[in-house]
Amino acid sequence: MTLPPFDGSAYRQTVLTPLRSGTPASVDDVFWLAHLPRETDDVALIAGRLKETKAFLHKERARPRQADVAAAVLKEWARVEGVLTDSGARRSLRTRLAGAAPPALTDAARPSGAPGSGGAAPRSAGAGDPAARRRQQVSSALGELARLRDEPDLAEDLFAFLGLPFTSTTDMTRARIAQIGDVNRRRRPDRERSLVDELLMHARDLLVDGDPQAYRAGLAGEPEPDQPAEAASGAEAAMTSQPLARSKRTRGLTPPAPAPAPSAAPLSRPVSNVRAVREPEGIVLVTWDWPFGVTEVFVAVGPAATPETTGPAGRKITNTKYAVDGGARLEGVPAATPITVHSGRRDQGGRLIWNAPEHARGTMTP
Amino acid sequence: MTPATGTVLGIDLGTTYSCIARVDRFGRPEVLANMDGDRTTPSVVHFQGGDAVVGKLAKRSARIDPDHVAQLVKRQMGDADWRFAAGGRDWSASGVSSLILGSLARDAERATGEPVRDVVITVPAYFGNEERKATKLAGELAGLNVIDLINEPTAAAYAYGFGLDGGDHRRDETVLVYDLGGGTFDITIIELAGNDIRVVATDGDHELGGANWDAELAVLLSERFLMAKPAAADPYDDVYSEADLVTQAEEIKQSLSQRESADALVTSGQERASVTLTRKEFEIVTRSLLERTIELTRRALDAAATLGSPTIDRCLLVGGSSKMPAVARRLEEEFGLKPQLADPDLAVAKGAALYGHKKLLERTVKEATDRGVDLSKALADVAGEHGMTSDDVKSVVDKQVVNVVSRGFGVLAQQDNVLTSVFLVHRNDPVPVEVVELFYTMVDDQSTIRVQVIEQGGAEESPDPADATVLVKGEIDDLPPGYPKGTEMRVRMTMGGDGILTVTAHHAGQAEPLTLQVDTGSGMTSDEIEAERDAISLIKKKL
Repeated sequence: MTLPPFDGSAYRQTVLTPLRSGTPASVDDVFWLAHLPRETDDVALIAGRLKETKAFLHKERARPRQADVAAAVLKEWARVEGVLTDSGARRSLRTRLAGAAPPALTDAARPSGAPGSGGAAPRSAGAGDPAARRRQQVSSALGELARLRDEPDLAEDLFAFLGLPFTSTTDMTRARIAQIGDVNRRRRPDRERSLVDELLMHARDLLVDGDPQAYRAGLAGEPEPDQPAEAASGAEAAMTSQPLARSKRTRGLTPPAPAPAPSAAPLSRPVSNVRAVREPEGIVLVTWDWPFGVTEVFVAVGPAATPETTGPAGRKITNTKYAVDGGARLEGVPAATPITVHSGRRDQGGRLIWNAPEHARGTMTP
Repeated sequence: MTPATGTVLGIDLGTTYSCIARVDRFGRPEVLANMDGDRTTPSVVHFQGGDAVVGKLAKRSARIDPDHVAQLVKRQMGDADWRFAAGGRDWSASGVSSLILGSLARDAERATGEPVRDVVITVPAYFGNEERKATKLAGELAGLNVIDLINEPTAAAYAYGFGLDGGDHRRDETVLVYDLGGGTFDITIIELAGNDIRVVATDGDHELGGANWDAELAVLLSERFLMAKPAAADPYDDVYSEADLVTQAEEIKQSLSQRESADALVTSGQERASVTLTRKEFEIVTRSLLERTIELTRRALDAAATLGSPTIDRCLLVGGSSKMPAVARRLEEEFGLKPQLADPDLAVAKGAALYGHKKLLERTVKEATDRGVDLSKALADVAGEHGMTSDDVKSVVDKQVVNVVSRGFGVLAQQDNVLTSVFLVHRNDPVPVEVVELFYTMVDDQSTIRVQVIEQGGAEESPDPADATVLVKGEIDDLPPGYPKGTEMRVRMTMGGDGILTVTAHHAGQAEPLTLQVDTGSGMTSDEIEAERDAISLIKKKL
């Protein structure tokens, strides 16, 4: 068996473009993420394709339109490689996916718009009207930030980004912009920090120096999921067939079933960027980025593990322990095992309270 | 760093364009043209099988072979995970950059007929330790002796103050250097006083540069194209159409810096459309980018005012992207400044060459005086070697650059049972700097103390360790029992003018303090470096 040569344009059209409307973390079909036919079982062919696809994704990180989606797929790469290089995991995945279509779009359904726009904007939506163009820029940046942070609700509008109610006063908005700006300047320079800076500029322009009513009205005039814009209707219809979930009020896409609503707001900020690497001795090293203020997390191993689980299926890790060990070191974990990290905080009585599972962040072991 | 010999060249290793300069026999900085006769070379590498082409040809190849063309690599400097797959191997950012540096060096050798070995390379003021190490490694992989790295705005100010028009600046003044390059933005306030350049405050953004303006323009072009050709495929879905679009965007941006409107022919598949954009439209879609530079400028000015430099006498625009008319207009509107373009494409390389020349003369004079040669004779000898007068040599050697720390440094410590970043050296502290601070043991009979030296990650200090980079770790172990909880440990942090950070930690139970030095090595393993060196030497042999 041979594979057709890797085609970067095809990968963009069939994988990266649809992924703008969701998150790779929610995609079970890692064959699709790797651009590999499901029936492929030749180890050398799989290794070659994994290398080609990964190399292409690294190059896409330098291209503005694709950078965020490519980075999001690369975050999942340990899981992709873990499954595809393990014959048992491949077999099991094929069984799970039997009969299911790959989560790709038809050509006609291809969304368009600004880089990282989440496929949300109709084609050439902002090309003529500066206000619409500005809304599109904001939407694009919000979508990219939501993907980077894996927090889909951020993508809704600037108020969601600022964490303010839709009816906030200008003074509240101004204070919040200053507050977020100060926190952001403490972050290391990266794409996320740049996006936040850019969104704060838009927020100041539109909500403080400009007319917040006009921004609200502009949002109200945007197509809602059940009121697709004329030019986007094709994309709307086709997107219902693919399994990526989006938050409410995000334009352009309607998932087949609503994403489960969080039972409550997270009690503490979730961790981000969870990664798992298998070391030569078989130990799995799990690492993540700690949100500020969180000093204890629960690492749950396996699909059924919860913060209440004890023993090998889960472990509490403090930030000190993490710093000493360089992460959470787990033994005897099979390949393709889901691992989730739950942030916790202590109440006034010193009792440790964990975030609910929907606010945990996870990955798969290689 | 290895002592310099002969001539020291200055290299501006830019995100989008690079150039190389030397000091001529009259003491003036001179930018050397490349093989194409251009004084700037696109920082682009095209890998063709086992060969690599750098510069204009490589940039053109981006339209026909985009998957093998590496661009904007400077943005990846210091990212140990980033690799560019081409020519059968994975290239690090240092490896790709070494090919650019090597190409510049070869062009300089052709232009001067002399071998190039010793160089000063410029880096954004805002580069942290990892990025600086990666830049130095790139020079070494190219076979160059990197005698120093200098911050780009400092180099520009050096060229302005001590080199442009062949003469020194005539009066003391405080200068704001607004440096908007292809990939990064630096804002620096510098005092020129007598023979000294003193950096007062610096700020910037690594992810903000002309490439961001190009990207916005490319989106606008694609939208206009899709308006004209609603049935056409989105140019962004095809790697070739996109490469063409981005190239056109850059050309249009340059055109709109001089004209009110510009045209482009956008193609996607079999479809094509002529698109006209105006400067006003361009400025509208890039407004938020420009405003980010204005906000950073405001912060730097505030910091400078706090540090005793409230008045700006001159505003220099450096970096190719600062030529956009909106930049000068907004700086004038917002701060009342009268910005002047200061040789924006070449000033940084010229400043680096002048600085390299100074380092060379300084070292030669010092070596002579260390051998017991009288200073006036040493100056005369060096003057003779370089075709200068003793006064000129003295003037060059006497010039001093007083830099500031661009990011804070500290250690990780437990504070209220939370691992926290504690900063001892702060951003904008002048170097050299030395700070001592006391820390305390956490338990009775504590036998081990871990010392983790950190660098501030963001523009402001953050107590969150996740916002900092651990530069070096060490442990004080086998401490004898008998010391109660709360026993003092004295941490001393020093940074010299050479930028090397040394940390000592001393507990009363130790005979000798723990000493940690932030090395100038690299984020790559020695095996990786050797493999990259081999690959580069193979390419060099073919060139």
